[in-house]
Amino acid sequence: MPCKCLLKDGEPLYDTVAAYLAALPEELKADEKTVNMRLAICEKCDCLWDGICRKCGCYVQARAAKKDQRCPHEDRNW
Amino acid sequence: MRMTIDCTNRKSVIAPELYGSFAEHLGRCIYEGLFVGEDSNIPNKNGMRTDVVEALKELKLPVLRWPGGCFADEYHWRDGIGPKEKRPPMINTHWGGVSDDNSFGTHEFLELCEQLGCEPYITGNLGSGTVEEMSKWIEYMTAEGDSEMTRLRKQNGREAPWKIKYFGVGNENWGCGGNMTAEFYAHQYRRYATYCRNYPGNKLYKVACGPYDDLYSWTETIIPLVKDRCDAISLHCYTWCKSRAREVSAEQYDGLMKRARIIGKFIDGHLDIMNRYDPEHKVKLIVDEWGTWYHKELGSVDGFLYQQSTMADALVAAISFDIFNARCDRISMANIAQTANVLQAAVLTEGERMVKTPTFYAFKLYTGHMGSTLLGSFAENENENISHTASVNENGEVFLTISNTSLDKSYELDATVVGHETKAVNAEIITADRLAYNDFEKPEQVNIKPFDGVKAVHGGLRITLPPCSVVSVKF
Repeated sequence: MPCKCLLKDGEPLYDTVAAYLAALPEELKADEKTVNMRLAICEKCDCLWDGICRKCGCYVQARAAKKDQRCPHEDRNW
Repeated sequence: MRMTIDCTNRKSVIAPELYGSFAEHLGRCIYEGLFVGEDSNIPNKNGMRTDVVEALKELKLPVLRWPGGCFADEYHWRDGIGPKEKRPPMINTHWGGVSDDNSFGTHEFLELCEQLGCEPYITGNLGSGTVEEMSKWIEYMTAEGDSEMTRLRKQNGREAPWKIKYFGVGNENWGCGGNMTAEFYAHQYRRYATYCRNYPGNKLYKVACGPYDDLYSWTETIIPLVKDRCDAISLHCYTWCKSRAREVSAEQYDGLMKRARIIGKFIDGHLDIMNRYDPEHKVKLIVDEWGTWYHKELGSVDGFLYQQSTMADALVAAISFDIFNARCDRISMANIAQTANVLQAAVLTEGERMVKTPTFYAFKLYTGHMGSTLLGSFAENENENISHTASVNENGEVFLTISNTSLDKSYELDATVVGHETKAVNAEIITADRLAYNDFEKPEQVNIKPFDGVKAVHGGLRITLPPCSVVSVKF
């Protein structure tokens, strides 16, 4: 079954997300506290599969990093 | 610029199936896009999203292809029937390596088709499945009488057999469906298709795996071997672009439109070969995968093929429809890739939200051609910026669609209409900046609006066609 976990440093896909985050303009980024709060919620969510949000098809760490994003789940978890 | 529509020159019927779609177990097309399960908070009927079903019904969707695509040749149908908690999960190795719990299977797909009022088009697994597996799937779905398969179907809640017309015997078997040579596939096709039986009350329309683009050698090899045992062969033609949909440069836009138009030449090349072996035109062509293929949206998962759809996509759709319509004597179906959230999708979803894309509106604008008879017509400058189709429906109403891909040039069209009066004219338009798109925050940036740029004049029409537009005229 899929792992309910975020991508970790050292995994090949983590580099893809890290590159995306590095290229994201600072003004679009959410603050660190917000990102951590979002990711903590995602880690408890059944829609998290191997670092991917099955609701929106995004890498969770990529979606959570943007200021103007919101949880795509109909329950609006964040 | 001049054009002529000859309403006395009636050609073939434009099969409604030319406006079909394709739904693969890929990314969020099936799961989330079409199917959310009975327990979801998202409004659904038997697990199917009601918003998406209603949207697709608006398009009068005639046929839906499933389960793939590349997925079809590793799909084992028995994993997708019976109690859901007992269905084994599988890894979707083609598309992102994600787990598929098989909660959407044969019964669910056919339920979806019933809700949509469309024909199912099922692709069987020739690449990694057995002859017996394919044969028994057809028996499970379509046989009456008493057998292990019909008992199993009834045990799973379906008493009466379904009607299944369209059945593909493998998919892209020159590539993801087994990397076969054309000759090897043709022999495999003959073997598998032999056991795709017509049970009483059901007649299969068998589709052999055809080529992609200009792979004429595939057509040349398989047609003599399969022509007496199939109803159609398939063709896959994508409109590729090395950019994200919303970042297409003006130069890339020109390339996109050229690529969309060249598909007509590929089709003609394959039809020429088919005509040599099948002068009576018994075997049709089905373009069962077409559409734009951009780089994925930033932040979205590799292998999910999630892209936005822009005004450029509406134009690619219009050009493609015109190509298919013009060859409706030989093309019996076309299926855009794909229905929701994947490639050139009609709808995008996120949680409970859904947005209709410019591609959706292009489909909607063209519904007037479905089941109508193609008319002889001609436009100057065709294949450069202008593309069109004219048809007449059973009530005698003429329907014209015409598109202009130029980014800066508008055209004054003087259309001579032969054999039909043009007194009452009703026109609509899709037009926007080439990169305009609909998203969840602004869902109606690109849609269909009334258009006053068409005037009835003596003997015809005068049409002012703006840049970057698709227009329909009914008269």
